[in-house]
Amino acid sequence: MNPGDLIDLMPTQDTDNAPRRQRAPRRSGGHRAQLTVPDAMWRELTGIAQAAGTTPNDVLMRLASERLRDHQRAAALRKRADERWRAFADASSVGSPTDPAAEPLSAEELVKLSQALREDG
Amino acid sequence: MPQAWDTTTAARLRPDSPELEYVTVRWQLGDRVAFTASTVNEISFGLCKASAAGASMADAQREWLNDQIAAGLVDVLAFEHQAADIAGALRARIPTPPPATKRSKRRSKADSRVAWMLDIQTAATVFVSGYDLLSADAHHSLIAQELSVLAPSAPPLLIEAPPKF
Repeated sequence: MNPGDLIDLMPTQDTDNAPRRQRAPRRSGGHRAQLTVPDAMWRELTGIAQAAGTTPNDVLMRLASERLRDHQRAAALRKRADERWRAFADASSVGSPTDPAAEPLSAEELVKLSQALREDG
Repeated sequence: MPQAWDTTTAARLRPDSPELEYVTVRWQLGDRVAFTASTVNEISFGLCKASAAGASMADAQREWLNDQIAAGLVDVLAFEHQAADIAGALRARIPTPPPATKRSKRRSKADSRVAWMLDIQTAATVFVSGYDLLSADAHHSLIAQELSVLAPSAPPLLIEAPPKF
């Protein structure tokens, strides 16, 4: 994530000279959760947060939200891909041969038919 | 839905181009543009041919494009089993391209056949990957109609005109 992406998060009304504890943007509604974040991850989150002028919690929320959006997009794409393939496969399916006397194509016929791809047109 | 670009649009991607700006914005929004492997094949062929003919920047441009793909700016859709099966079914239904357009009239029969195969491969790949196709090529609408016959209950392959860059 580019730290610049997070810069617009923080309100700019903090004009006190006294150092104040950095606070994440207030998010109303939703579920409150307490997490244990691995040390290495927390260090990385803290670095990004300092560069962007926000809190590690906020960076964590933003990253989770982006990842979730990617996941939703990928799932929608996969669903449509599967629907298209399934529709093609179902429409192509003939089930069991209806003519019991029908012979499968010979090896020579299969080769000739496949090579027609190079010749048709 | 995400877009895959056909060759006439994809080949315009170069440094400092409006196409690059567009692709970068989509990447930033988490909505990556894709090329098919067949499209990369065509672009690579063109640049290698230009290099062999003495175009001094062609190799560098090819390397630049490969770097963008490796960095994840553009996704490349593989021509794999399902796409290959659908492409075979499409070619059986429409073995030859529709009557020649102004541009393709200059092509030999062999070249037209190759172009048609690549158009079909691209459409099949985009279709079965779940994407929409960005193309100014009228052939793709015909191919999309045939796909709707081959897979009548499927979400149709949408053909979008390229944006005005």
